[in-house]
Amino acid sequence: MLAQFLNVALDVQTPAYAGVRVANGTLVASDGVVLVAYRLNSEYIRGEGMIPPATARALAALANEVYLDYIEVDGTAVSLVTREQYEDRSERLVVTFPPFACYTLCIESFLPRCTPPDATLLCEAPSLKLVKAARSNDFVELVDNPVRGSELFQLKLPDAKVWYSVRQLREGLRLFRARDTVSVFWNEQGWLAFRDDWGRLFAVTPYVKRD
Amino acid sequence: MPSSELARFLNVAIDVQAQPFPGIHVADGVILATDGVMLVAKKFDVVFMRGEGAISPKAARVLEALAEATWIGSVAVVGNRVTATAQTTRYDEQLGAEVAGGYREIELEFYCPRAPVARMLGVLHDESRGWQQIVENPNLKALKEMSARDYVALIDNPRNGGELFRPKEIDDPHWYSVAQLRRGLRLFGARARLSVRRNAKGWLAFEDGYGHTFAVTPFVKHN
Repeated sequence: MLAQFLNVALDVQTPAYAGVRVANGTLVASDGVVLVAYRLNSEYIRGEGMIPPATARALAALANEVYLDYIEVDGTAVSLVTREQYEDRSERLVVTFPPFACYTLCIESFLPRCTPPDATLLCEAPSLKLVKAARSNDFVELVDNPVRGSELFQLKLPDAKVWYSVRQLREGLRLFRARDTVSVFWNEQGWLAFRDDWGRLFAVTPYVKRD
Repeated sequence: MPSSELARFLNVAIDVQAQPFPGIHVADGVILATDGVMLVAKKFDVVFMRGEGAISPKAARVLEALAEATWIGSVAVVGNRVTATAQTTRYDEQLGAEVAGGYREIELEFYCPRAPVARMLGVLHDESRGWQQIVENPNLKALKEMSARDYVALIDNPRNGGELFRPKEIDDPHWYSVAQLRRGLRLFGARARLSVRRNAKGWLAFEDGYGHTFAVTPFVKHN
């Protein structure tokens, strides 16, 4: 799950918002429009700082292959502890990545806006078929009163006040597996957040009609 | 600045390596990966690529990610222990830009069985195996145009600069998989001038002037 998160986070982050922010046991990445976060145990993700893109790539490669005991971040330096399993023993292995340039952005400050009390629960376990079926350059808006199991979106109508990009939704929803149950939150600015029971969150800001 | 050459080699090598020879093997400045059917190798400076041993696929993926992002000063391999020196970078407030910093060591040690690198490379230059230079700078357009599931054979008397392959015919004694050729030829740049050799058993070896080698064994007709 960590490798999957890091791969999505690496796709989401852009040069202006480079890297993956670590604070309070949470990993956060953003491009200023889309945000993905993964809340882990603060014993598992220790320290505070930024994981630079280069380190994040290396970390994703390792997390995909081995079990990591914990990850420690100090500024932009990252070290991790893993175990190499031999037939007769397991050996503790520490891998230390050097610091790389990465500007510290406290993007975790956006997280409260995506969950209660700043945001309200819109729907549990909605159907997101339209996001899969639509073209990536299409736009969608929320249906009125979405209910569990039914479609969350409809194609954008000309008079929509707030709408979302299918491409951006697809990019962030890759965070979740096909059968994950997600809760959807919505705030007054129209930010839409999807959260699962494993601590993963994807939030997207809307396109807004200006009169 | 990324170590593009190392990153590209590792990218292809990680794809090629498989059982019975998992990992990437290092000896005498040569780094090599094989699955027993294909082999990719690159000769580096012995100061840059030091030691002897096997880089596990896990360590190779980490090294590839680092090489894509920063300059790797050297790689030292002792058994399964890989020590890479990577150039750090930092943000210079006065310049308002990212600047290069000092080198730091990164140590990785994951288990990987060793492979006889010297013997494998020796086979590619063993005169008793009947290696012959067949063509310089061949045209490989047919490989690009064919389906990955197709098979090709060498054309008779290929000319320098001319097409090297044609679609396989039913009575060809040796033929090659387009998918395997494509995977290995990714090692070379688009404008690389390749030299192609073949041995008596139909093995093909592609080399450029920069120390890259890709060798592939053929499918053989058994009567």
